[in-house]
Parts: sequence; C-alpha cells; structure tokens
Amino acid sequence: MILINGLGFCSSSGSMMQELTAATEVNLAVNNLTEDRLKKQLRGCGAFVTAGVRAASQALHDSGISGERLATTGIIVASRLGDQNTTSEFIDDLIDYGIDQGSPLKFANSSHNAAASYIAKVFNIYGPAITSVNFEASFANGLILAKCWLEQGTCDNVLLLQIESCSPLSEVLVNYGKGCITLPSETTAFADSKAQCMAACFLLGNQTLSTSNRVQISISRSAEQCAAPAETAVIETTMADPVRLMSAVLNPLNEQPVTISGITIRIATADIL
Amino acid sequence: MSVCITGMGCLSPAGINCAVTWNGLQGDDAPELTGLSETGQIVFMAPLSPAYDSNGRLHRSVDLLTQALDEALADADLNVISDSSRIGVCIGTTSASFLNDMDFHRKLREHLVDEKSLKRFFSGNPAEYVKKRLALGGPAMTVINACASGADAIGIAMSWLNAGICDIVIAGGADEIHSVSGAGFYSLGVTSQHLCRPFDRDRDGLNLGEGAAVLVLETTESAVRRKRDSGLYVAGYAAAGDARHITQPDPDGCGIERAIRNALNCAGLKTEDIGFINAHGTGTIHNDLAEGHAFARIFADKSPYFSTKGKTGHTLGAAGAIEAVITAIMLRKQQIPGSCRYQHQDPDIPFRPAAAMKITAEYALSTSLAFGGCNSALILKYEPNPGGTKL
Repeated sequence: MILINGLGFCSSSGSMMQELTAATEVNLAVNNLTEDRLKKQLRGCGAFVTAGVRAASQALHDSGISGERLATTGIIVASRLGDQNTTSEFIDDLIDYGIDQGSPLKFANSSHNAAASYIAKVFNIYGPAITSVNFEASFANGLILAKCWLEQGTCDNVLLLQIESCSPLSEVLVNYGKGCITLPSETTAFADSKAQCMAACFLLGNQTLSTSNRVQISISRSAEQCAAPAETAVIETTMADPVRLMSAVLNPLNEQPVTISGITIRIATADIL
Repeated sequence: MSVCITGMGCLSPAGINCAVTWNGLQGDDAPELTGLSETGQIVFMAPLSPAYDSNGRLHRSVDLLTQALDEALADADLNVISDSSRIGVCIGTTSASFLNDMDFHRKLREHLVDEKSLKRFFSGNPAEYVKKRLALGGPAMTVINACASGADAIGIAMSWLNAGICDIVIAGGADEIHSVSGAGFYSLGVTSQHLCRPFDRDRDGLNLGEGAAVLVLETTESAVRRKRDSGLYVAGYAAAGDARHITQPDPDGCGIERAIRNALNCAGLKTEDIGFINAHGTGTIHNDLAEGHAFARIFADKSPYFSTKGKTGHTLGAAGAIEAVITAIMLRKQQIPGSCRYQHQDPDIPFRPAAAMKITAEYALSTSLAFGGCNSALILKYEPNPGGTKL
C-alpha cells in the first residue's frame, strides 16, 4: 500500500505565479523562494516545463510536505510523446538557419528531462529523478517505478507526473491511432513552445504527512493485460490515465478498482488506515 | 539486493562486441572509425555490422541496439525465450532518440508525413521496439534522462527484479551520432576540436560517440533455474539530483557524491571495498572537475579512477550502459586501461587518474552525470564461481 498525499493538475494557460507563490509560502519557506526568483529560474522554459512545475506546486501545496522531507523526494516524469514543441523549436532553427546555428538555450531546454530538472531546481529536490517516454504505457510505468522506490526505501516520497503537449505531432498521431493519416491543421503552430500543455501530479508516499492523508492505494500488474502495444496504439486522450486515477482518488467511496495500461489500482479512503 | 548479470552485449567505437572491447580500450590512439560531424567536430563511430544496418528503414540507434541485444541474448542463452511474460525491458537513450527525429520533423513541416515515416517514428522508441521484437510481456520503459539514461535503465531494471515484477530484465542504452545532438553540443561549446583528454589539465571538451550496450539481468532464482552463472552482479545503484543547473553539474560534485554514497549504502559496502572507478569523465572542464572533487572527498587516493571516453567518445544515453559492460569486462580481467591521453595533472583536481594496471577488485563503481543535474552510480561485483556454468 502506498499513500497519495497530494494532487495537482493544470493546463498551461494563465499565470502560474499564484499557485507557485502559495506553495512557496505554505511549504517551502525553508528554500527562501520568491516570486522574482521563480521567474528567473523558469525564464526560457516552454509550456511543458511550466505546466509540470505548476502541477507539482499544487500537489506539494495539497500535501503540506515539509521542506526537509521534500529534499529527498524522488521525481518521475512520464510522457507519451515528450516535449515535442520545445524540441521542435531547436530543430526548426537547424533547418531554417543551418546546422551550426542552433541556440544553446533552446538545446538546453530541449533536453528531454528538462521538466524534472526544473522541478528539482525550483523546489530544491535532491532525490532521484527519472523521465520516461513510452506511448500509452507511460503513466503506468511511472506508477510501478514509484511503488518500487517507496517499497524499497529509495525515497519516502515521490512526485509522479504525466505531462503532455499539443503539437503537430500529437495531432497527427491521434488521427493515426484512429486509423487515418492526416496532416496537422493550419491552426496548429509548428515549434511553439508556448502551445498548450497539460500536467497531472501525484505526491506519493509511504507514510502520512502532517496535514494531508488523502487515500491509500494498492497496485497490481497483469502481464496478460500488457501485451506488446500495436504501433498505432498511441493517444486517444493523452491524459486519460492520470485523470482516471485522479477522479478515483477524489471519489474514493466508489470502491471500484481503476485499471490503466495493464495495472489495477485499488483505492481505499485514508480513514481505514 | 544484488541481481545477476547473465549476458552482455556491447557495440561502441572501442569494439564491435564484448570480446574485442578490451583491446579497443588500450593506448592513446583514436578509435578505428572517426569522422567529422556536420559542424566539423571529431566524432567516434561504432562498427555496426552490415547484417544489422537497416539502411535508414529504422533509426541507427535501433540498429546499434539490435546488434548489442542479439549478442547479449546469445551470451545469456536466451535466443529462444520460452516464457516472456516475466521479462521486462528498460533502455536509455537521449537526444538521438525518436524524439529528435529531424527527418520526421521536416516532413511534418512540409506536410509530407506518410505511413512509412510514421512506422519509422514508432519503431524509434527503443524499449517498445525490443518489447515488440521479442514479444515480451513484462514492462517496457524508455528512459530519457540525458547522459545518465543507460545507467538509470540498469538501476530501474534492478528495482523491478527486486520488487518481483520480473524474473529477467533486458537493460541497456543506445544512441547514435545524430545531427541534433551534434548541433546541440556544438552550440554549447563543449565539444573539442581534438581528441578528448578526460581529467587532463588541458582538456577542452568532449568527442561525441555512438553505440549500444545491453545487459541481461536476472534474479538469483531465475539464474539458478536457468543454470546461468557469470559471477557478475549489479550490487548497488543510486541516483541523486544537483537541483542547480539545466546543463552544468554542481562544480563541487555534491550530486554525484550523494549518488555514490547512496549506492554504497544500497550495496552494503564501505568506500574501501571499491576496487576502481570507471568515471563518466567526458573531458569537459565542468564534468571532470565535479567528479574529481567528489572522488577525492569519498575515496581520497584509495580507489583508482579513469575514463574510457577517449576511446568510446561520449555515447550520451548509451554511455552508462556501455561503461557498465566495460566495467564488468575489467572486473573479469582484473585490469584497468588507464585514462586515455591523460598527461598533466589539473591543479584543481586533487588526485590523478590511474594509469593502466593490474588490480585485485571484487567491486567497481561506474558513474554517470547528465543534463538537468542528474547523477547516477552503479556498483558491479565479480565473484567468480569455479563451479559456474559460464565464466
């Protein structure tokens, strides 16, 4: 059994500072963060990273975790397709201006583990951080790894996120998953790192935190349900898995197990602990 | 808890397979296959066998991975998999993965995407590719943790095995010489115009390389059941973050120090148990300084350290896996090759890297540092069993 001690979800529109500041004041005073410092730390980041930081801040705020505990927290970022928009911005420069004209800032931010890195940097987290990309199995993989870390004592708390962006690629792949090949619409911007992104975050732990103790979950994996994916099995609803789990967590009396990508999650209210 | 290494495959600029890799690590010469990137930087190529060259049908990283995979499966006597339901796969890769598929991106821009290019795109996720190729029923995870990806893939495999999720995990890393990573490292100004000199006072950057390595990792119960005993084990793993900078490591090496100390704790070892350290040692100013400081604080001058990147180049997401295999080869040989092209001591690094020498070591450490402040440490063990089926 592991505990879900905090939840966060956001779409990348709007200002992130309100949430970040709230998290800072409530939980992270030990890190001496200020709004101005946050702005500096996240300059140059695209919507993918920003959405991840926002979702993480909400989950941390929700949990009431202390700065001391947070320092050794693990971070797992799962994504079906990664940050295509930021990557594309760097590649676009190479195509448009020449192979020797890449921007070092864009390249640094196109590193596929950038979201986890910025979350670690903003919240002073020094635990292990893993980023993975595996189409439809991404979130389930992240959940399994978080369970391993908690049960094996790798860390006492894990921030598990799934982050997805809207991109020309995601548009093509959604349609390919439906069995047809379509080109991106003209309204879909190429290489726009500010394009809409979504992020969901769960703060998982092996013990109750001071101000929050939402639910406990047990996870089992079925090999039969995890047959090798078809190459077209990609994204129908990109955030379906974390949203399904989050909905179940918010309605724990439902008592129906949640099945996502071959793993079954049973949820119980914290009251029965 | 330790997990058994029952098979290894390795393809890098230092050699076409595990058997020849040791010879490829000797001396200060450039590796056999060198060339220039599109930005004019020296790069080291891996000798991909023509039998594995898909001629562009698949990503080159996948071709490299397949060659290393087949070698590892043969070494582990897993050519025929009778029960794949409890076999997982975890592969690290980085900027040369399908996420940076420049041709695909160009086609997207030009509205020329077709089924062929989509199939190629999907085949570029290395863990999913292996899972599909071998029809595995266990979990499949592609790790994109920049240059620590290969080491982290091995660490995740260890977690799955110890959690009882799998009996066997195919773990490793793969990366190719790629336009995007080449242009990116060039833009950062961290590539050398010369052959790299890790830990040397006059080092001026890295040489990119390519390759793949695969380790077949197994629980003790599974290895005993299959009568496989190489005497090699992954004894410990840990990762820790710098939380400092998106590309540069903590100059004091605090992150890699935490990772090493946690890996020692994971393995139940003391610092003096580590017989040698196969360092990340890219040849950049910052990486080598960070590692040099961390090694000095933890080991003083008691454990010889060196880098093999003068012979392999920096193979990015494959590096951690390639260096794990190389570390295992050295443990078996009880020899280390020394740090390629090292001449002058950096006054800011307290202790010199090792020269080539014979050693007596049961445990060895392999370190990986990556963009985003990711640091990983793997500890390998060699305990030869004269009664084992394969030594």
